Amino acid sequence: MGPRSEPNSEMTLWKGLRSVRLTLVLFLILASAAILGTLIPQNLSPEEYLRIYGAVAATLLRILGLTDLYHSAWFTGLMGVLVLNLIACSVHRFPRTWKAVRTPQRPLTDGLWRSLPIRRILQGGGGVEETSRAFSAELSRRGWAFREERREGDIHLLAQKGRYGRLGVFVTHLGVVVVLSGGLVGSLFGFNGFVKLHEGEGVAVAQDQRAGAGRELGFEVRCDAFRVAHYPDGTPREFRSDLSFLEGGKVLFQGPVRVNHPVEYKGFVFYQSSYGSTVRVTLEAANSSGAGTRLVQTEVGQTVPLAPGLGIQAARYEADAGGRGPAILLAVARPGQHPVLGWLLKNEPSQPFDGWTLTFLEASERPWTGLQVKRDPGVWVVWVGSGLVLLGCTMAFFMPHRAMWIRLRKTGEGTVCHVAASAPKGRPALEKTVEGFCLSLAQKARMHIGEGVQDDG
Amino acid sequence: MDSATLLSGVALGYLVCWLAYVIHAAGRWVWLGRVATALLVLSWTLNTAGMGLRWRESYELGFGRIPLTNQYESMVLFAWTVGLLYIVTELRYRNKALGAFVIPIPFLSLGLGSLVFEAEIRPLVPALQSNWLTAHVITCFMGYAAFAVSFGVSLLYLLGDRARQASFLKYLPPLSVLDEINYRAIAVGFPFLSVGIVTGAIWADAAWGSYWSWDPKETWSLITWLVYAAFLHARFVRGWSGRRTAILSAAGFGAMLFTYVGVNFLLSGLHSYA
Repeated sequence: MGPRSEPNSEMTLWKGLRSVRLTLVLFLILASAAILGTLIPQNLSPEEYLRIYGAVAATLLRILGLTDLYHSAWFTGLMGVLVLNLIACSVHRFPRTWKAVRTPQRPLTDGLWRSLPIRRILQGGGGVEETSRAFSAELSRRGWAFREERREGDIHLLAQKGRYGRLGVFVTHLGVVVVLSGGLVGSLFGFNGFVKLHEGEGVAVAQDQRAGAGRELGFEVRCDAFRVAHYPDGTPREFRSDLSFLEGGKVLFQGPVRVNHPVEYKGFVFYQSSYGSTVRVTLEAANSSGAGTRLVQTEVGQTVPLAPGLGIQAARYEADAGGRGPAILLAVARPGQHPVLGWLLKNEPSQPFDGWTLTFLEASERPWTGLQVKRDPGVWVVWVGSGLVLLGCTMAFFMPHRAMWIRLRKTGEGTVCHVAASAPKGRPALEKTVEGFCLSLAQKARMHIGEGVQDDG
Repeated sequence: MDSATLLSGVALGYLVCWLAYVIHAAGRWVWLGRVATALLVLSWTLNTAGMGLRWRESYELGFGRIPLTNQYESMVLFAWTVGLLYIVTELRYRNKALGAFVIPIPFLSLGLGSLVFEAEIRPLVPALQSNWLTAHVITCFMGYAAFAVSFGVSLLYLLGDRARQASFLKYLPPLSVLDEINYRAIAVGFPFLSVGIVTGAIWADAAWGSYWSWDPKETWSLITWLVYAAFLHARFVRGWSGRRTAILSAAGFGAMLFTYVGVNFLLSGLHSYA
């Protein structure tokens, strides 16, 4: 392409970008992509994709960005194009609409009369001034904003409703752009992490949910207590962590965190997200070869060496195993062999294994609370944008623009009134309104509705 | 009588209403139309009473909560909101042909709800204990109900032409009026759905720590929103009307139905209450 064709191609690009056909196509593509994302499970581990879809399909899914579709470059790109389209449409249309809103309504001429979709003619014996007063009173009663203009002996009443409703679409579009920018701000500058705290434990670093790295909070958060409350039927009623926030060893803020009631400290919001308990068990290990007995302490789920090449693990803990008191599921393993599993009741020695007899002496439970830690500077931007979308929708749908033109002209027998109206949306509704308006005037000002509805132009 | 029994009775009431509307639409008995409307108002009033009774029963069980928190209760609410918006539409447009196409929706919702789902009243799990519950659920279901009415109108529009030729549906309103009701219903449903999504986002930000996490329920509500946004743009900017907008409106209802019911049974996510 030569340099001369450039302005032309810019024009084409602009025209394409501001076309509503593009908007409709983007809606269709975004909706289809979103559906796809609910059909393919998102953000699983590579092994799981391999298991579900097989090697070829799993690789394809990863390359096409379908395993994290909503954050993929192409999906984000499509949203970007939608934003450009929205801005282009609005920039293109706004000046015209703004001018239409600002321009005063012009009096009814014969040409305008013929172009308007709703037309009625009323005739009556009263004078122009008297009829005008009746019309004005009726317009006010029905909530129309109007002004009076006198021209060549005629009186014009120019009435409008929902004048600013026409700006609703721009407010909505602005709101959508603001919401999406809030999302962008959050994803660029936000932080989403996790801390796991035992009762009495405090940390100053939160683990990033995505990157896995730690992040300094700039203060210490400590869990003083964690409680689960239940309804009488046993369903959970409340999960609650009592937190303290410390700086330099001093408690500066305290507060409970419950589901639906997060706590914010220095821009970080803490949410109750999970809970559990760490169990520490004490075992006595006796060796029949005479090496004596020793105590082994371990956490449930961790493997400890008992002797060279021999590891033991308390795989599970039951506070009450079938009514027989506390028990642990013990796994004894040599490298490269399947572990031998067996339940061990408290204070009952195990069967000898490789010369070792194990006795479960004691278990202590320490509850922990899992807290989501979030910082999102974009949240308020999103709320402002959402507010604009809702405001704009309200303006667009509940303040529909309607205009009415009334011309009162003196005749030999009295006054003839031309009433015309237009509404870009909801013409049948306006037709009814105008009909009602004319009927009540016909009654009040003793006029009759003429036959002038058919095309006389 | 307990609320569950009363509400199954109301389902039968809606069934009788539906039959009355269908026979009225096909026949020539003007009085049957009045009977249908009277029965509908009665059924809807009892539907309201059933929800009130259920609310009271929860207090008698010792925990007291609004009956808007599981699949069964949501289907009772859906019947109620569709009934309400249909009655308003009928009074406003003075036409009963639409009843034959809209009233099966509250009947099916309440009937299936009573037959298939657990009506036991259970206390609120911690995630549902929020002031946003009422606002979020009611706005969403007002939106759903408006879309249900617009779906009925679209069906009537699409079948209307043919039915008129077969001189079935005596009291069919002019197609331009159907087109207008279709837009009006969506103009009510779209803002309600938007408020429902925003209140849901505010709630999710407090309960799940994120205002938007592409949970299937969230994603499908966005899909529904996009379809109706497409309807509005196609109608006002590209000048679509009639058959094409009726088809778009029906597609929107399909997306809405999947958001409401399909997501819960076919996909898994955080929003597992209803």
